[in-house]
Amino acid sequence: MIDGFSFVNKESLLPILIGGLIVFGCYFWKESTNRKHGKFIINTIVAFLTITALVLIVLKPTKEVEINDRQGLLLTEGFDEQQKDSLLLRYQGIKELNYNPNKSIGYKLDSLTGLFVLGNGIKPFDFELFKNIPLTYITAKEPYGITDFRYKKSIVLGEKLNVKGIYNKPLKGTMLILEDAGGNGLDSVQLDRIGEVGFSLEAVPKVSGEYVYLLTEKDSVGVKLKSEPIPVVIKEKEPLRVLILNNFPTFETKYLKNFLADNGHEVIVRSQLTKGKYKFEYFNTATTPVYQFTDEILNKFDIVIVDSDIYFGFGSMLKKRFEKSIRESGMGLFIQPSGFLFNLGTDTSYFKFERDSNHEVHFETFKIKLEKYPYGFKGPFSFQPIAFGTTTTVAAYKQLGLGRIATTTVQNSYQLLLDGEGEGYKWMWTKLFDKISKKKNTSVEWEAETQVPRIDAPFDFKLRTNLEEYTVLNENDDSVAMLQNSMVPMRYLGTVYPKKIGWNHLKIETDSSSQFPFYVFDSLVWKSLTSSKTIAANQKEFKSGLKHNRAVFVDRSISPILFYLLFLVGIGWLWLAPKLSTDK
Amino acid sequence: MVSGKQYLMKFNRRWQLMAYLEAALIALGFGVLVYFLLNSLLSGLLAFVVGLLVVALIKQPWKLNLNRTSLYIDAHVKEASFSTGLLLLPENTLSNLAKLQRCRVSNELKKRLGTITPPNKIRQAALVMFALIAVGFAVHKLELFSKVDSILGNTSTPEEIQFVATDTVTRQTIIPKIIEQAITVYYPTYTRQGTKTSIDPNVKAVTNSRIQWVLQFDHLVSQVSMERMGETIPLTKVENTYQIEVSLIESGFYNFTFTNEDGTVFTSDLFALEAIPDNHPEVEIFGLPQYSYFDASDAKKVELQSTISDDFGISDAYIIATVSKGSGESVKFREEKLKFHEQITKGQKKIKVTRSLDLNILKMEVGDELYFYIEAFDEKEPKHNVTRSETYFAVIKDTVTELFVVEGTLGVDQMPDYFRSQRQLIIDTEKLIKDKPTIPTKEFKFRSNELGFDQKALRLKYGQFMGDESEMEEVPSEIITEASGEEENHEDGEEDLLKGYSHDHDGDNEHNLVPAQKSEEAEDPLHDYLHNHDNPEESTLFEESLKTKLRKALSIMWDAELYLRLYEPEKSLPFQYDALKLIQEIKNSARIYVHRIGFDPPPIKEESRLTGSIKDVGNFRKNKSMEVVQPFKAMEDAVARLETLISGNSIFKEKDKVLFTAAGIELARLAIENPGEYLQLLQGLKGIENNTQRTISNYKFVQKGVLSALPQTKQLPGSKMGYADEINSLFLKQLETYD
Repeated sequence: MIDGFSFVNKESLLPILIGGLIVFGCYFWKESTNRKHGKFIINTIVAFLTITALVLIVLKPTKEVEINDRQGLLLTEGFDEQQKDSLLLRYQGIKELNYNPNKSIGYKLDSLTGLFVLGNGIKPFDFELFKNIPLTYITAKEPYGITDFRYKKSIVLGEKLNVKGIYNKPLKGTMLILEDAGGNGLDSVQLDRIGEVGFSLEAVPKVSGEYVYLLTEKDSVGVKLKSEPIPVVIKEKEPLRVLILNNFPTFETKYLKNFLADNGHEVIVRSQLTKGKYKFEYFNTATTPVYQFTDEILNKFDIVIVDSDIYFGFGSMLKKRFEKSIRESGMGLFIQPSGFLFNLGTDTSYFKFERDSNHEVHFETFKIKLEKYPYGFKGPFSFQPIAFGTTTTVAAYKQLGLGRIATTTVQNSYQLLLDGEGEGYKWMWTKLFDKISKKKNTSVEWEAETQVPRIDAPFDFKLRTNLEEYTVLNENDDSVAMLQNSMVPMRYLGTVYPKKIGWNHLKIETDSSSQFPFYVFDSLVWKSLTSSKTIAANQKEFKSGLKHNRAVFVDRSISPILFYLLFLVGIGWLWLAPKLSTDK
Repeated sequence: MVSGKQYLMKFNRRWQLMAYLEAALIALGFGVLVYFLLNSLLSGLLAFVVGLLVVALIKQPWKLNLNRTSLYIDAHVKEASFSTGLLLLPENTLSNLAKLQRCRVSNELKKRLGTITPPNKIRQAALVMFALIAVGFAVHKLELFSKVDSILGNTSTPEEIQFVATDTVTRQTIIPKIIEQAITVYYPTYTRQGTKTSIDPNVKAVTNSRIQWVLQFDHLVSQVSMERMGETIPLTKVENTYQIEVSLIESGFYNFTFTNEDGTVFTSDLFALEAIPDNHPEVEIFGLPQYSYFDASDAKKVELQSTISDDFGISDAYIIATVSKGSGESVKFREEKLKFHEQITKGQKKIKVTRSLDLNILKMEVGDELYFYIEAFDEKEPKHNVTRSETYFAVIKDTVTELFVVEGTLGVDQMPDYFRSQRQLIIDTEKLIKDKPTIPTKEFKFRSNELGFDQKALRLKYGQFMGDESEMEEVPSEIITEASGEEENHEDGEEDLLKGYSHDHDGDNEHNLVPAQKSEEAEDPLHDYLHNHDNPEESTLFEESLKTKLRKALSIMWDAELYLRLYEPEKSLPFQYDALKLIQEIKNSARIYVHRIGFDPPPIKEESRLTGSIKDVGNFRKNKSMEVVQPFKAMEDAVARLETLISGNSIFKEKDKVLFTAAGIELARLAIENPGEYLQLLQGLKGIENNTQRTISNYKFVQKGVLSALPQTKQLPGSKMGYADEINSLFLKQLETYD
């Protein structure tokens, strides 16, 4: 209160004061009726003091004092008993606290000048609570089991689901099996080494949708120990819109266009017959001839495949228009190679080439070989290689704004089809086109900040959008408050507290297509991973080393004996005084 | 006193009767218990009889005789004063006192015996009977035994086709049951399996069998049909049964459906139809190495032993032996079909056959080779299955060839051919010139002369084309003799075997540039081409210039031969080169001639040629929509749908039924190869489809199965979704500026 004074029973200050005043008032009235005795004033003063003492006894006054030796010991999940005991021994009178993320602990911390944290540590979302207290985090032992785990949570159909992780101290012969949603084993690995063992498992999902894959752990004799869920969203690829421009029909183009058209892509092929006359072929699309290359027309396509003779024969205006389209709309351009391409200067051809006199290239993945032009890509920074598992780079792309330009040194790839290596052919071109195809624009992008969402725990997510006004809705269609980044206005942060285990969805109210599925885990799964992550976060947050204790001001109650004495003396006087006066 | 004894006998009969009654009661209880347990009257009766006999044997009521009766009465009736024994003795043997006592006892018994009952356990027996009946009744009511039965698998066999209503609401209605089902498999006649009748609806039979189902229902039903791999075949009604007959061509699944009187549709489980293919016969040859070698002096016999087996019977088997004679280009083949020593009777499942092959009998000589294998047929209809064994070889070693191989460092072309080509002659001549200093003169002359001969042969060969008749008859026969020196002992009818396989390399017509028969028709090869002018100069086989060229070449060849014969190969060489050049030209012109026939160019409009006008050339347009084939679309969708059903976020909707039906059809197509593997999965799918098994566990089971049945994902390009971030765009732009 004033100057560091306060009362324990602060809340009942007023009634007690009033009560005291009434008592004093009564006394004053009683005494004033017979003030014949000369001690009225003295008595009144004594009475006042006595009643004040009484009031203070009830109110229990405190005084703020500064202390700096009051330590606390916070025990979190997975703490070591030995560590706890030695700390208790070392710091006599240390206050022991148990950490439960679901219970408030803040008020208990106020009186502590320093805090030791044992075990896996404080949940990252509670860090804010411990900001003001000097905290020493004594790391727990790294838990057994999977301590690090990464995979792509959202993939497209045809892409590999690759899960990588680290297993800490496996028992010899422990098996990890990647299982699909139904429980069919897809890939497995046996952990034979000791210590921290890295593992990597992969599989190509067969169907699209939201699935929970499983990472099952079995011991060396095949007894299932546990299964950890791996939620994956598998999306289907959208068909491409492809424009093929050729100076004259070639076999390469013929097979390429058949491959694309057979799989439902929209393909327009324009091959020149003679000056100003073209052969147009339309597959899965409306008949709209392409004569002029306006921005509007070019922006319609995801990929333009053009032979080098045509493309580099374009006037600079036209080429600029193509480049603009690549830069701004993200269109992909694939230049079909010819001898002409390799002899162009770097400025014109986008790529640097050098002669390597290799006329053949082997693809290790499919054990196939193909003819190639005797040139290789030059310079490590002028291109991005497209990996085909070959010793030299045979295909590469270059980023141009949002889009990409690619070419290859492989020729006559259709030979694969003729040799019956259809799968190899598909694989090669799929890889290439997937690298350069234009991305279908979405209005929002979601990103989970919390790696392992749990029920009733905060789930933080990031949102990037250029929508001016929007509302994010949670699973129950309640709106979620979003925090806009002050520097980058299209970035937002949000937090929800999921209420059910399993798939939860966030969505934009006006846009039903932009849903964000996230999986909320049961508290029993991924324990070692969560522990390990918490330990790491705590280590980062509370850097090691001893902290100096802070000084805290504590209201220490003033000893009531003084008030008792005062009261006793006062009462004694008030009892004795009339008697003395009457004696006189 | 007779009456006393009669009383005793009466008592004795009562006693016996009661014992029998006791036995009957217990047996009755046992019988009823058994009847309740087994639910069969017959076994109940049997149990009663058995029980009766057993209890009677234990009690042995027939052993209760008068002596025991009298002892009992003595013990229990005081008034009898232990004297009932007197009643059993003949009266005349007794003393007077005894007679008196007997009379007294007799009178006493008359009074007493009515009151006492023989010892019995009728009450206990009745209790046992009631207890047994009660237990039986309880077991019957609680159906304890039927549960045990079903565990033991003795109840209504799984073979019985069970039907389930597809509409769960109307479960209360009576489910018509099959009271009789008969599945008859008519095996193809050649298998000699006849027909087999069973009640197991999972049918396994040889391909091409006919299968007949006869079903009889206990209630009136309609629209009975069989659903088989997506097609519905109605059953025909014959009297009060339903019948269907189907040919088993390929494996698959089927189930039955019918509608009862209320219009409720019932469906059965899925059953497998497995077509077992008729296996090919198996041929095993023992004790014979793949290659046998014989010296000319050996016995040259191959003992062939073999076992041929087939699952339904062998129809025929024999050995195909091929003898090859000669080597290189002059190789000749002769094929023979050899029977085994044993007679092969059709329809045997396993036979052991032998055959000894005497190479001499096969007219094989030194250097010849024999290839043989066994061919076996089974009786499958309409086409037999054929199996061929591996090919075995028998070779008679040719010592001459071996010698030749050892000294392989000799010249390149050891084997004299029909005749050498001009190019070869040049090579040989050059070689001869080179070798001249190192070889003896005799050898040199010999070789030069030989080359001269070859040059002559070549000249004569080309002479044929010119119609040089004079030498034609004489010379070719010479050449043939030379050649036949190589291929000894042609046998009649064997010569032509080579024709199809051989390729005339050393002739002048190496690449069949000129039609082959020109040279083969030795008699008059030009017959078809001549206008029969007799004069070779007049022939129109070649154009004028060609003819002169050939004539010129022939005369140059003359000169070349001349110098070779004069042992001056150096001088001969220029002529040979000239000849080669000319022959080459002639060949080329012949080639042009052939080409001219093959190509017929369209007439060129001279007036529009090279004008550069493309006035009439238009754009070409082609529009095509490809249908993307997704053979497992429904299965994929079903997996996704099941995932939501399993998670409990959604309930089964009517439209899902269509999806699962389609998935079932797709899966069935996939499952044809090995129906056993997918039968359960298909049944699970069917269960979801017709609402008999819409449970989470079944959803999980089906999802797992379908996922594993789906083929690997194909690699196909496509565009992904992405968000174009402004910051990223700015970053990329900056990056490019500093690139």
